[in-house]
Amino acid sequence: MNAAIQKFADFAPHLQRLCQAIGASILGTLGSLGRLSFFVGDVLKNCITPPFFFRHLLRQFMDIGYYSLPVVGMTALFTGMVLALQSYTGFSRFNAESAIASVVVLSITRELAPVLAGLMVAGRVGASIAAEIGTMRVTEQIDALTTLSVNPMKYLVVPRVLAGTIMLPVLVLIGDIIGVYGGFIVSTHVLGFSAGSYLHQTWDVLERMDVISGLVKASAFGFIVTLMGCYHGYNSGRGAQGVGAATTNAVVTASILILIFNFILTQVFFS
Amino acid sequence: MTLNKIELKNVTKSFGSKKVLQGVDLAVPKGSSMVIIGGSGTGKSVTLKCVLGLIQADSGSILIDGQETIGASARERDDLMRKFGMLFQGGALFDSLPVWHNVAFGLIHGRKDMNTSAAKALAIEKLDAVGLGKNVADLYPAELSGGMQKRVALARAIATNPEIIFFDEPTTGLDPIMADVINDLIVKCVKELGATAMTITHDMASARKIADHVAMIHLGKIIWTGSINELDNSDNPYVDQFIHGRANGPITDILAA
Repeated sequence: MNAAIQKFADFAPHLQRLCQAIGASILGTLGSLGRLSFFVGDVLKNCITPPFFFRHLLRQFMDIGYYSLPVVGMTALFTGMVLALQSYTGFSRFNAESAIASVVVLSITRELAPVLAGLMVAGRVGASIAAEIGTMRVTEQIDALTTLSVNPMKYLVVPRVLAGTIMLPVLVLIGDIIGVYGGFIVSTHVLGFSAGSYLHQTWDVLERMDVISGLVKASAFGFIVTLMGCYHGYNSGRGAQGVGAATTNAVVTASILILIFNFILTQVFFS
Repeated sequence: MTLNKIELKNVTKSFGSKKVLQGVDLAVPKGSSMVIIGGSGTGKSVTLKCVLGLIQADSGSILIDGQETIGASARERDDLMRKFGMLFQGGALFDSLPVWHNVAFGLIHGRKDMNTSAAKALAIEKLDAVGLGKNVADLYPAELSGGMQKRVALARAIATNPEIIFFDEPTTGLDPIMADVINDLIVKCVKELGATAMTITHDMASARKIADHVAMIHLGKIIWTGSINELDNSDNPYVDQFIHGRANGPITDILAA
């Protein structure tokens, strides 16, 4: 009996340390969630109250939207092409080659264009936002904005988040078209389908909701990417290491959140 | 009785378990220049940022023109900010904007709503006041030397004709001659504006040139204040150790203990 008590007494400090570690990590997570919620609230409030920096918004439309076009376009094109090739090898086993057109157009518009565009933009735009705002934090430029009576949320964060939310659906719409065209090229030139019947099948199977759900997803992903870039940059730690960590965190959290919200939104739209 | 432009009473601030300010009391008379000296990590910067409102003090009272600023509403804080100009340690110039736009930033965006061409003209005037020519105006901050960046930052700090100007280590990282040039400019600009100045530094040559009054901060408390003339006869062993830059004395003894 005594031996059992002794054994437990030896074990107790370890148990305590384990509980402390679990508690600390739970508190830490809840704390970050709380800070993020306040940040989101602050962003939304500043979106609708003047003053507005319209010229900054236009510049962000260019930076986030226009300059992401090559990346998103290439991604969509090759995804559409590979989708046609892969579904051909699969479907030809069941003599179901005619389904290729519908597989390509539905996968692209519903899933692949928004998710892949979101992930590519997270890498391109989210990282650059976090690095830029993080550097401004570290070199006291954000404090300087405040001392010059300019609200850094309005000047730096709001234009980026708005531009991301508005421009990503535009990018994805263009990506949809390019992706379907990629599938079309492979099907007609490599796999020997007739152009007319491929287009006909594509058009037949496509419904308005397929495209709209993809664009709503894109808008949510644009918000997530720019928000994460701004949030991590704004709260960046000191020095080059702090900015590096902020950039990594921005891309990683944005990518994970995109995948999670993609599931949630799909559930909402199609169940 | 002279009116105090800035008054701090028993201001405290902690970051986690680290108590950075442990009851700071300080009064800066209107139109005078206060220099706060003290070693690294003693709370100089935090004091300055508490007055500016960039950091929220935990307790105590900070009065500007007799008005309480701790717990001020966003609107009051906005009005307050327009009284301030600040020269940051690293300049903190906006590297995406040309020099003239940096200087004119507070005029164009900061609720003064001056039109761009008028603001540019005024910016060039201010650049002239800190000894920079018109040709600098269209360059970007990264194209300038450290001393020139400091001058641009000074021009930006004075561009809105603030009533109170803060200088955060204005001479750190400059060669002795450029440091003296900046000191002269600070004295000149503060005098021309009739502003109240608050400077934090550990450069004693700079402190002697800029200061009317000196306060020494140590371990989050003001341990000595007096006019610049009294500095050498303070009879305070901490002040003596600091201004003579000795490695041995009460400051280092406490840190070692």
